Amino acid sequence: MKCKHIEDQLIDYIDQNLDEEISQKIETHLLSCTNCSDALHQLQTIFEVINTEPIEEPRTDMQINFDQMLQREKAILKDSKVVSIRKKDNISWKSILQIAATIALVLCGYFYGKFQNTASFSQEMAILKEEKQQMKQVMTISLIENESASKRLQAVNYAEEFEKPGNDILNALINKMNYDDHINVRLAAAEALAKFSDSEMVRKALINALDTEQDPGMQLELIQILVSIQEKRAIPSMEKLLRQDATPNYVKDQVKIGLPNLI
Amino acid sequence: MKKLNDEELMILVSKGDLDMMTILFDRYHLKIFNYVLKMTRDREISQDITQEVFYKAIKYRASYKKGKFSSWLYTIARNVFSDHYQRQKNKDQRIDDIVYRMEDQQIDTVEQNETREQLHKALDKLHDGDKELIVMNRYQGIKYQEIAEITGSTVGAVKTKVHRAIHKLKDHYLQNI
Repeated sequence: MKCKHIEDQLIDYIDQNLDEEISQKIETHLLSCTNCSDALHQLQTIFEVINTEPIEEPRTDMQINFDQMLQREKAILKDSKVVSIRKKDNISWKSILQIAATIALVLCGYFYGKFQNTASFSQEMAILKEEKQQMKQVMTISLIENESASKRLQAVNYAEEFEKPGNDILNALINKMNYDDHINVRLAAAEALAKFSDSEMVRKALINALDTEQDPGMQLELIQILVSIQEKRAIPSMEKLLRQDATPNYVKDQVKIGLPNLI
Repeated sequence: MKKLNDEELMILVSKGDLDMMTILFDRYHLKIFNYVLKMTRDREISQDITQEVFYKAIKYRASYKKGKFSSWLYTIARNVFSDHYQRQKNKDQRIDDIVYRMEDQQIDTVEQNETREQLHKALDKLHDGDKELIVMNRYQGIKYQEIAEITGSTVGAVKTKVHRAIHKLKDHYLQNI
């Protein structure tokens, strides 16, 4: 074996992590090679110093502070329990039933009257509303493919106003976020998607986007969104950003600020 | 209760039996304190960070998911430490440097041990990442497998990095004497 190869294995040799056979070979080599046996002694000295390093004791108030903190947290936990028990004690089942019956009666009267008068009218309204919603969706989708960047931006803002957008709207937004030529459209799309983070599809799209995104501005936006929606599955992608040399420092800083909030 | 292992205790804590954290504090506060102290070389800061770690462990008890307790705790410690470092960076650095150096001297005169002093100086010359690996693996005796869990890496990568860091430490150390 060559000296370089031996030196690479010295730490394992000291830690006794090697096979008997390799260990033997190193031992015989060490007998004849002063360079390697010097290196061994240096490592042994360093490990010796480290192993005899005394354990430092913190000040005693650390224990006291810990106990106080624990009491505080216990009190908070207890408080939340006490409140719920008391409420149950004060209000008996009888009065709950009475209140429920009253509410039910009032509601019945209200709906009966309303249904009598406006059954057909409200049906029409519902159909109209639905039609309007559909039209808005179609318009948004057609506008989102427009050549002008400002029109696309406008469409993204329309999409944001839907309370429960259909999958085709979400897909269009995800598509814009990932592939639009214009960075402002992409940012706006990401922002709009953040509002619909209840949808699993949107969450997955945001996680994937962070994993593949190259533009630092988008990376910053995505990190902020993922942290604010508490998406723990994005942690690996964030750690990957931290490891990559190509990641700009301010993006890494954003990750460092965001990551602890996900734990 | 003292016979329960770390993980069993932490599960009890996560279910609301906060008193069990006292046993875990007894078992781990020295380790965490010494880990942070090696990284910062500042007793005050290490004291604060250690307290913060156990506070977060209680606050976020629900996020504990049956893994190895010590890995989970060290993950929190690393987060709190890098958080602190982040804040430190934003403050006036010159004043901080002076404070650090004064603390260093105090520790050194108390120790009176030249080799140890040399080694500390060599350790301070390493990058935080390398330093952390040596502190965890050599000073704290944490196995490669667990370091991999804590840092979100693989055993092979951790082992290679630790070995490289030790050789770097040795080189710095030899330059000093």
